[in-house]
Amino acid sequence: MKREFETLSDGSIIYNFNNFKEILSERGKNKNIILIEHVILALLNSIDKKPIYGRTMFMKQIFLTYNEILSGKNFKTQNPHFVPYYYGPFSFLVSKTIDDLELDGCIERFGLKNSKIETFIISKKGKGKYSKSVVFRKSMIIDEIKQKRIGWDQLGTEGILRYVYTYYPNFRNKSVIKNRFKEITWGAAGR
Amino acid sequence: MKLKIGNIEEDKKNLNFETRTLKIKGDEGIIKTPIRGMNNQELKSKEKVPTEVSMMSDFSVIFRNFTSNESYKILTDNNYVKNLIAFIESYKIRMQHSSFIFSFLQPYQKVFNDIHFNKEKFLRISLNIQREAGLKYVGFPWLNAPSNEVIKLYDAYQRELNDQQEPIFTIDAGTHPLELEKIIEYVKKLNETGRVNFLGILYKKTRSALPSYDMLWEKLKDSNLGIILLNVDRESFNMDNLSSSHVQEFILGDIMVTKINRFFAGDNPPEPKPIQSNLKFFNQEDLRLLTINKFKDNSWINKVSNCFSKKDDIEHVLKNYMEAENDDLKKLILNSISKTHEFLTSSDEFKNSQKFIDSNETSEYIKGKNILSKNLIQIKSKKLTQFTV
Repeated sequence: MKREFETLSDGSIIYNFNNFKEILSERGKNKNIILIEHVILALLNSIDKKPIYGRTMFMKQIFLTYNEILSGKNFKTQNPHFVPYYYGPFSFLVSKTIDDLELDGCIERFGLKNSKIETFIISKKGKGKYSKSVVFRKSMIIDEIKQKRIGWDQLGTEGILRYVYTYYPNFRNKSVIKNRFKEITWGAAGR
Repeated sequence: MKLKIGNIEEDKKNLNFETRTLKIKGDEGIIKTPIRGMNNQELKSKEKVPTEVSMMSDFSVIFRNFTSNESYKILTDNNYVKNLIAFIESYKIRMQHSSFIFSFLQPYQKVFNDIHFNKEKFLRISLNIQREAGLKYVGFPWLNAPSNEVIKLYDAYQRELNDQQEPIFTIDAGTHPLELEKIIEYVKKLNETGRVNFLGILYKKTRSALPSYDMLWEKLKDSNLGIILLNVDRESFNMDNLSSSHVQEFILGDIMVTKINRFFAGDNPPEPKPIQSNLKFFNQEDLRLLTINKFKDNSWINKVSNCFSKKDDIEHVLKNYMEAENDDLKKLILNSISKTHEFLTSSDEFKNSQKFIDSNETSEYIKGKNILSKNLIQIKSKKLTQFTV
């Protein structure tokens, strides 16, 4: 069957109903794919008693998990379609999945939405779901996620933005705060 | 909360040292001292380091000194206090992976010269600020007052804390030993009941407070009270640039917290120096802070870079360090690398020394560090002179 689709600006693809059913049945055969919800739950579960503070921090940590832990490891992953946005890399799909996981009771959210004191923590139900995920079986990356999450949490929101803007300059162009972080290059090669 | 003495070792005859290990039950098992605590400035430095790095410490310390003007604002300015609470909260979040988070809001010594400064009000509001920020451990500032007044105020306000909050009193090592002794007796009594487990001590240069350090060691060495040495100089200029934290390890202190430097508009700017005689790195082998022109060759670049997981990022910056000569932003980055590197390697060195102290081999450790050993012996001769005066 010929697939009909439309591609959105963030790279997401809209299929018609029949194509979508076909894709779902294909996905059912491939249980080894790491879905966005697995990544979110793995990040929260890595240090399960300590929350992630702030939506911006959460989004950037998911972005870094994809780019610095999962990439180059030959895993099949669902593409989160990160795009440059007001505060650097942003994924509408990740944002939607976070909301869905909260609604499903897998994530507990406290504090004022979109404030620095908004916190995200994994629930008992979320732990159950995570334990059945592909990531859970990959102990090597679990340790890496834990180690990196400590470093990212320590940076604070300002620090993680500086880090992302330094190492992923392609995601700066739409940012409303890019001028806060001056680009510094060292050496003639300008690294 | 459980704190227990590991081992105590003293040698007043030859190498002149006093030290101990303490075991503290933390979130993820037993923590051993002597150890380096991480202050908020060190955590801030990490932000500027152009690579990823985790700074693990079981003890994180938020420390703020206040000028007269700032202390007055704490007593009168709602907005200033609101921002201070937000400052503490933001660091509390970033320090959440430490087992213990302490905070200390301390007026500078000069503030106490103003006889109208309301110490009790400062104490009350500073405690309220920490409680509002949701801290479990509440730091009581040193009030620079006679011991009976300090004890009276500390006692009244520690009773106002609930059972979930624990007071940490602060004393100044430069205070007369007889005055300090009375406060120590009071703190020890509360320690026996389990109400108090830690004591903050504001560092004074070793040689300027020897009788006080001596008394404090004698009174505290066998107590289950964790000694947080605050505001420790980064290096001792009169001790061959030894790291002061690593000297204090053999004088007094379980948790060493480095001083947070502040510069004020009225300060004379330091004389400009070429970067080679200005940029310093901690040398783990001899425990000194050395400017880069003191290292034999460029091997320091490799040594420093090796401490970071993405070695190449740091190596590239350090190889081009000369670019910072006339660039303040680049200087800031180099200083941040220096402080972060010092935190990582110094923490590692404390772990190394703990093994020697625990197995009664402190002498071997000190003998292996020639410059430390020479300076500890020199303190002894100074000590004898002071006591005979």
